Amino acid sequence: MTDMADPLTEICSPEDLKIFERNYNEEMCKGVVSSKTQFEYACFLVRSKYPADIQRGVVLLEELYKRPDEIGKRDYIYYLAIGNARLKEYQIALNYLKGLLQVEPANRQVLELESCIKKRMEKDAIKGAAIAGGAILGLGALVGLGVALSKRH
Amino acid sequence: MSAGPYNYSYIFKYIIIGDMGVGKSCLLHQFTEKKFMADCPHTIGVEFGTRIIEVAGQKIKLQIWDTAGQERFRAVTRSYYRGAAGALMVYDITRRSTYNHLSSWLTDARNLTNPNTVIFLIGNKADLDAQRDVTYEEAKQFAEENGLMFVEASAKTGENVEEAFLETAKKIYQNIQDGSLDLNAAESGVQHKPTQPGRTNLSSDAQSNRDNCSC
Repeated sequence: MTDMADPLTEICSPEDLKIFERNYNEEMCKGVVSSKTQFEYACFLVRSKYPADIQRGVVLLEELYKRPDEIGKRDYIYYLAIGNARLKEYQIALNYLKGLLQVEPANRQVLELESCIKKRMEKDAIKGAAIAGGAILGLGALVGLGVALSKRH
Repeated sequence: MSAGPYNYSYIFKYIIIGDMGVGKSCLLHQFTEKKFMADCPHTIGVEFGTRIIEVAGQKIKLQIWDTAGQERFRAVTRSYYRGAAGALMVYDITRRSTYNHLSSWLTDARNLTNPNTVIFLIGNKADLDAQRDVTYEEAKQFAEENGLMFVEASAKTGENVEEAFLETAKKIYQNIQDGSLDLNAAESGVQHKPTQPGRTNLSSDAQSNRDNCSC
């Protein structure tokens, strides 16, 4: 149990993921995977702590979304946004949410996920700036060292 | 010593379960924002909410996982039951079918949580008394037979909403105090955050920062 509860940090248990993976594989062996089974498996994959799992979840959701006559498109898009955000593909995630908000502009759950992703982007940007700042400091130190060494000669 | 909003000594995990359209998200919204959401779209998977409350002078952060009621999400939402200290089980007093399904929700709650999880039954939409389809007495009896706490509430007017969330917390706190809930057990749904005397400011600052950067 952690302090935080938000759709981008919570993870599923590996045991749960295995159960839904097994269901998916069983149907796959029989030839046809139902939308339900594929969606359930994808929901757990995007909540995995491993990026490779999340990536696979995104692929399965994209495939579901392309199936004709799907009633769950809204759900697939929401989970596609979560999956992409967790892979740090923030712009793709935000575009998915933009689509949802065109249909339901006041959907609080979607708005919250959007603000969650934006906060995450800011945090990553600050981290990036800090690393870049560190590099500049490092470069400055090197130049300083160079100057100091050349003066010794 | 500062008593900032993020200075709390416990975290309790709650889940909200029940049929589609009974008003789970509206109850959560009323509790966290003190507002009624008039037309609330179906929840996708799970939604999160938090609020800090006080029980017996202790600040407790409630971490609330509001689950989707749609059948298509049942397998997904079941994975959130684990480690819940409290479960709010909701039906709609104007729709008997939502009441009839309670035994199935209760079975899930019992099977997937620990034996000490406090289960609180809420009959929502109590403001719509004219359209009532389930009597108070009947639900009260069901609650007693199953050892559940129970109120009728209204996410619209706010009636009894606060009470349901707070009474659940009081019961959990009581279970901690009398030793029936072991905090060291995995999946107790409770996390203790002992505050160190003299360092309260520091820890509360750190706490608030963490809360701000997450979402």
